[in-house]
Amino acid sequence: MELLQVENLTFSYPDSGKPALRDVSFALAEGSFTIVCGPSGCGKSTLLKLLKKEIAPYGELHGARRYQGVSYEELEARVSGSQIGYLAQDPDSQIVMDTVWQELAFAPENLGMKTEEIRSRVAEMAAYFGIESWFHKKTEQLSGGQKQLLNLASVMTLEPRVLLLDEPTAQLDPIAAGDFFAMIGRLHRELGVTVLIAEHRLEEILPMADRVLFIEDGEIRYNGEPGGIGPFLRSVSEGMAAGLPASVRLYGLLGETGPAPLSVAEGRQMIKRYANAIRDIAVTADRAAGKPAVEIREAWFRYGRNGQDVLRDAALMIYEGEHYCLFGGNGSGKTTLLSVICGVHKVYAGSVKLFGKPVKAFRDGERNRGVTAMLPQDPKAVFVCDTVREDWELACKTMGISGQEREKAITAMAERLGTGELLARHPYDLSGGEQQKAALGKVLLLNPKLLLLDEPTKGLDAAYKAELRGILKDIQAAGTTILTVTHDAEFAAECADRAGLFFDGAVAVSGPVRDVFSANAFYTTAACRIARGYYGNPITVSEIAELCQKNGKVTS
Amino acid sequence: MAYERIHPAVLALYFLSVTVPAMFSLNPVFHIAAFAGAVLFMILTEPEPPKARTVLWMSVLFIAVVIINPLFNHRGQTELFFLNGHAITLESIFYGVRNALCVLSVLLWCRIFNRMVSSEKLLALLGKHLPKTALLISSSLRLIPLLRHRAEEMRDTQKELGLYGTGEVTDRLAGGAKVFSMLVTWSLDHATAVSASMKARGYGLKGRTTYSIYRFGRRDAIRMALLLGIDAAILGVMASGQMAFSFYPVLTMERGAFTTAGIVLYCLLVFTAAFTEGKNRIQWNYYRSKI
Repeated sequence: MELLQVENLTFSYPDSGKPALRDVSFALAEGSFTIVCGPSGCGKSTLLKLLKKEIAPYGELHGARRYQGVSYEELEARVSGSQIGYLAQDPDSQIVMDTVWQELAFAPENLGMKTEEIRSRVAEMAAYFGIESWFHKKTEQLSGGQKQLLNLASVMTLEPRVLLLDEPTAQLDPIAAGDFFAMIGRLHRELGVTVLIAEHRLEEILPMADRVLFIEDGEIRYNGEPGGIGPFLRSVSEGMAAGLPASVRLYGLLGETGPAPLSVAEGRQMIKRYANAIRDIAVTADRAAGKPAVEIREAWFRYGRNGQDVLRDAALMIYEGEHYCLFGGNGSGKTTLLSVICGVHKVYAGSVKLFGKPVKAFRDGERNRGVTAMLPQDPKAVFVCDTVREDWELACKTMGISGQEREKAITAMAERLGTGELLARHPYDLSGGEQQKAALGKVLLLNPKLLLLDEPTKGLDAAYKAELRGILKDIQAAGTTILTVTHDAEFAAECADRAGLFFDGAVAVSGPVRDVFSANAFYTTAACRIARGYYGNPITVSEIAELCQKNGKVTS
Repeated sequence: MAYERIHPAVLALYFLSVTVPAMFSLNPVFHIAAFAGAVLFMILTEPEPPKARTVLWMSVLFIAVVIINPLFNHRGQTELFFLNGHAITLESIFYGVRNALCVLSVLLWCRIFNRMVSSEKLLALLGKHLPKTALLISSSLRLIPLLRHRAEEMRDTQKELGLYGTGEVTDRLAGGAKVFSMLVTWSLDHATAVSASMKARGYGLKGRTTYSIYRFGRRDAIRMALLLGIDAAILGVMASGQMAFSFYPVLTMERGAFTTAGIVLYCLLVFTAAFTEGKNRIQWNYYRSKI
């Protein structure tokens, strides 16, 4: 039985020539699990919002949307309010109340349930989601992953039959995202909830799905089995195919036929079909270590006199011209380390040197002009003006550039990042990927010798990631040293020279990125996990493919 | 703590029952009892001894309130000495002491009430009668730390990007204004997202109810009834004038058939908090000894 039906849906935002969605038709069967993917700005968010009557955007709409055969125009508010659940990307902006239990009671209160009913509903959800231990906490004290689980639990108190999820893990770290997906999987399996999820981290959810929709430019280009999405995407664009799970990408590179492997385990099965006489790929010699750009020794730091030590005897060396990636769990102090390097916070013991000069020795404002610049986790924090151009001009002003030169610098930067048409827009009106690029532009206008990046790939789709990689490689080639704090192992494997693991207030492991990844079992790329034990040192999918092809198929 | 198991409505009534007589009666018996009850309760429940600064501040307040009255009020029969040609009388000093005790005991009880009834519990009380206001307050309470965090993040980022640059006052002001205006934009953006999330979860449907995790149980009902009974008795005695007290021209306390009963009832009320806490502790130690 079809629970939700969309027929020939065409939608345009007011004052926009091009429709955001064009002639979209599909149906969700009761109990199905469907993934919607597509490049940023393809219309998948718009589609999900249109399916949630209460928050549907305003604009011109043609075609039909039906829930259980009832057209959306005639759908009762109570039915659409409670039976169709919706969850957005940002964990923070969906929490209304001060404490966790109030938040859980919020939705049942809206439906006008009685106290006893709410009590049992809230207790049930808190137990199911494992929220009991933080039931009485303030919502402010929760981690990002906990917040998003709370948001999901709050939606589930309505007992919805359909869940519409709009990139729910884009703002979470991989471990929290894994927990979240596991919960979605459980809800789907145990409660039979119908799921429609927009997502570009396909690695973990593709095995759960029974159907995948691919949308581009507002049109559905693919609607079918999860297994078929790999070959399809490769035929469309290399950029989107990069968002596929490692095993599917490997399957494509090897030109295999038959059903594609969707998980690491299936990927391991696939490479066993190839011999492994040659186990390692040839490694080019490491670049000669230059002069140190960052030198941290025995650094100790805490927020406030009575706080806990966040940096405990931390040491780190980064050499000029290299790209260093730092990994580590959430709240382990990676971001704090960045703030210590750029001088926002000061260590209470130990030393921090930039290019051979103690951080303390830089005069007011000197450090910001041509020495370090940081792109924070949330690019929104970078902007303080009404247009991107004004913000960029402000950066030029800091650098003391004006007049003709300023125009030249801005035009050059816009060309380099491909952001020409964004300059006149308000920073908050941009999409996540566009914001990231505009913010990076402002930071780069400060012409730093050392660029600090805090989770630069958070929430970006594969195409944007590939673009960012290209930009960073250019910057590095021009002589800039880069320090990236990230959870994204794939990203680091593609572009870092050296990597380190931050743990317990210090850098626990540090070395060439290949050594670090091939030694780690968990904090590593999916490609590493596929090759683990069978091949020696490959860390990316293309390297495994190279080895497989060199070795040839096992003839049996 | 024993009070954590009591419904906030009962706690609120208890607070009023203790403070109202202490605030409106002139009879120092009320003030002494209220003060002693508060101090005893705090000794039993405060995890650490009060900071020296708190004690000093309280003492200064106490002495100041005591002194002010005799300086400006020269009524009373027992003249102690003359200051600038005005008589300083024993009665006016006593009246000053009464004022100080009154202020201090009400302050201490406010502090106790604040500890007993968190903002969450207060909201639960409010929610029953003013659901919209309670929701508004709760969502504001959520927004405040969020805004503060956001402002810090923006300020740090901008500092790092060299917005405040030279550290001169004009630069700092201009930078601060920019950050503030962006913070306003951000909070509008945030508000739109929050309201979408509220609507998506059925906010705006007719007949919204208000849920409270605090159950008004049988014990709470008994406590409430007892409190109301005692209150009625004390207020009755006060209204009959049998608890009246006057400081001028000489200290006089009215006495009547029910004066002692009124005092005993009030003392019972005031020391109940400390008594329950003490009993609770002994009980807990006993239970623990059996574990």
